[in-house]
Amino acid sequence: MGLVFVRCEAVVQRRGLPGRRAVSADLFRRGGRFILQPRLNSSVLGGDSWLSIVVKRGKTSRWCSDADIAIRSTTSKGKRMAEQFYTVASDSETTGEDKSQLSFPDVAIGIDIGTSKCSVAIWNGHQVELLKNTRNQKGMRSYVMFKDDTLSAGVTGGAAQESAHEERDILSGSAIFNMKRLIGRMDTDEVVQASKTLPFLVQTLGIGVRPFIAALVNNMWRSTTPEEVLAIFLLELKALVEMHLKHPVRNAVLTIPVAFSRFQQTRIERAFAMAGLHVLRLMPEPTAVALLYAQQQQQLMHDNMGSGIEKIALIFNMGAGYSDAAVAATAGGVSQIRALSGCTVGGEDILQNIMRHVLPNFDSLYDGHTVDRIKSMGLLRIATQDAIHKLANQESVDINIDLGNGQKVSKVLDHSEFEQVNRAIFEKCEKIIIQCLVDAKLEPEDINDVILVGGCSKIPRIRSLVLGLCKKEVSYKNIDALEAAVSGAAMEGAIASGVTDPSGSLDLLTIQATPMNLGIRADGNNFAAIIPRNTTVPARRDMLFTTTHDNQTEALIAVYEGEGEQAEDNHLLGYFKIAGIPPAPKGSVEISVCMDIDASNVLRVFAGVVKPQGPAIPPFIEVRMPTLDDGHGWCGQALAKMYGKTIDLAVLPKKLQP
Amino acid sequence: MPHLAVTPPTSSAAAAVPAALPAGAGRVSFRRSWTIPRPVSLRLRLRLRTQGVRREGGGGVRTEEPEQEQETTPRTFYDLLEISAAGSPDEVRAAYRRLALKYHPDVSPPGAAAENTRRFIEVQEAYETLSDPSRRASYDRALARGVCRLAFSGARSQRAYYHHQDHEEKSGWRRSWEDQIAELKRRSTVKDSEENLSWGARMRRRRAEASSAE
Repeated sequence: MGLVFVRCEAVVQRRGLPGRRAVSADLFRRGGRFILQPRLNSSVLGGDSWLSIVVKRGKTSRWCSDADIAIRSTTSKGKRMAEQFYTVASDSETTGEDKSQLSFPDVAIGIDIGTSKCSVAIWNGHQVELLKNTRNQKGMRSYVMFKDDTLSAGVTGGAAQESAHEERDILSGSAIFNMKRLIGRMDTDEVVQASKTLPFLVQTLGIGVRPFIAALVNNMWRSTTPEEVLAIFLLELKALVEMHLKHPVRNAVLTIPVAFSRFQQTRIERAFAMAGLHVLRLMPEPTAVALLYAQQQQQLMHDNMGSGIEKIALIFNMGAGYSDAAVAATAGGVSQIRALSGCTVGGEDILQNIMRHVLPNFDSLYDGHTVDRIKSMGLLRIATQDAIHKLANQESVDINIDLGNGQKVSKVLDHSEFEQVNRAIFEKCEKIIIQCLVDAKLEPEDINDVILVGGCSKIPRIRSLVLGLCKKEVSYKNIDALEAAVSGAAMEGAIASGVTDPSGSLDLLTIQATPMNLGIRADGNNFAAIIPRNTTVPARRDMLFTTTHDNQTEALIAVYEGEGEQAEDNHLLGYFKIAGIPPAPKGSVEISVCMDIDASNVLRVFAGVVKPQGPAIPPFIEVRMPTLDDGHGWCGQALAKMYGKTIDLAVLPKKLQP
Repeated sequence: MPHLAVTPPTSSAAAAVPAALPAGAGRVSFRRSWTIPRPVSLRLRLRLRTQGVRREGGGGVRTEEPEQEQETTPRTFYDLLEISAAGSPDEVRAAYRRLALKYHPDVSPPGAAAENTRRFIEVQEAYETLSDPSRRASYDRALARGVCRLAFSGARSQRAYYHHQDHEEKSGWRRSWEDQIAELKRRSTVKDSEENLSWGARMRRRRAEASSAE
């Protein structure tokens, strides 16, 4: 019994405001129950406050809220249907109805949205349980299929029954996938550029705005956004969990790649909000694995708190879209993330490299996105994917496919060739592991266990590479490579929701660290890191800056996040201006910029003049970051164009301080 | 830093800044408005564990008043971590874990979260210093000379910009002598500023100077 989306009209009314508006919505039906979701691009999703919704479709009128799956009232065959409407409890308001929902144990679920596959897990009161879909899969393909008026996501597998057929459908151009790679990225991003060879449409203008993404519906490109696609997927996922738990779900703990910028985090939170889910916590994927490891170690040691021997694990996670490494030290249920690093290479890049290798004119061939080219691209993709999977267990593999239009590919691929083609990827993986060890100030000998997770951890070269760097023979055995992250997330969900377990298996504390440098632009275009990467959170650091011109009265604080030495190599999170600086010779004013990451990982920036003192000094400014909403690529350039260097700052020179 | 011009030497030091800020502006308060408070049971359990109190079967815990917060302000990092100055690296780590379970915002009662977050950051700084052999050695030397007024500054500015944290290890003892000579010189020239600086701020500054001189 798959979910079917039906578009319908809903009447909404914002609480406390007069007037009703008609908006389009999706009604989907499962058995005798109906789930209503306003269409994601409709204006009703703007604010946090909620609305009342009446659905009018044909001769029936029904209502329900997006967060509340049970239908409260059905009126059929009726008179005065248009008049009937009900007020639905909202996220931000509490009514009697809401209270009845609160009687459910509101334990956050764990979700691992992978670039290629997605899984969901819950704490069932005793242990973590991974949920399966109707096709008995724990790892569900992450995609959304656009067909006529119906949308279906990979959770249920859409219309297709056999997986081979499903795969072909996904690659027909009608499905959007890889949203985790595209979300929150600008069209100048190399990851977006690399996504242009996907079967659906990814158009770029190269000016630092969000890319144009569209799916093929009835031979037309229908535009969408990664957030929307993700939200539709999450709706199905949420329905799956609610069907299993038999009560509504509100909160989720989500794992994200280390390389995700704070801006991307806000995008993913928005997608969750669209689907009616609140993100309780975002966990870097390897730290979720570390939590699982900490629990296993804790159970091994029982309760000898404090005196517990510290165990150090290196976790390497490589999925389809991202690779992450982390070093975690754990003892007595307390795990400390010593270092984190990540990059945007994954199985998708390996796949593309091999596709280019077996078909050298790959790029020119698939430039146009015509229907038959999409089809042959799909065939190539399936064959290549298959070959890569086979290579994990055999010495060499034959790739033989007929792409149509007289194009044929016939090639034997062996390990050395595979490794040669993907050399750059393996080097990047090596780099993040070494960086992680250096940042944690550890030698390979200090590592007790090497944990390999993610789909790509099955590739022999990846295994030998990571184990070689850590000078280990074998990897840690008790963790499932594909289920670890989501299990950790579900466990964190239970812990953060206040669940306790009599056996003590949830008495765990993870001390997290920041994955990237946070700082501002100073000294021309340089990046001055105020909170360096791998700083334990919560954290607060400040730094002094000074003016670069005589009588400079304004200063621009442009906040960036990343690893680059130049500000522009990093992600711009936001900017604001300090005005009213008392006129003084350059370099004599002291401006303090303080960054604070609180317990819930919210970044705030405080800035103001600290010298000279006096009543003429403007108050400090506090800004919650990121402030940017969209199209941030050109912001930095626009600022530079508008102001040049007139409102620049410089790091206060150290030598001249006493 | 090419386009940097003269900054006249001043006595306003990084560490003195927070105190010098106008009230309500520079005094950055910790917030945790978005976190979900954990119920008492888990916190209590974690806390009991830190005190070595065994749980009874079935998850029942002896309800006991959480231990009194230490009233006196700790004078050194060792006092803060509640260990002796001869404490081994393992003891440092164990103390850190114990205090993390006490002050980490994830296990703090909602009312005490802001205060505990502040203390956690202090504990973190103490741990980072004492768990790194070279930084601990410098800290011990500073303690021995009695120039350590106190630990925390919250202003980790200079070190943050230059990531050459390993610098001290390279030059070892020689640098320690140089440190002391430089220290004496500094003391004779800028007498006042020493008073305004915490040990942490001074050490970071020194490291930064060393690295920028490279």
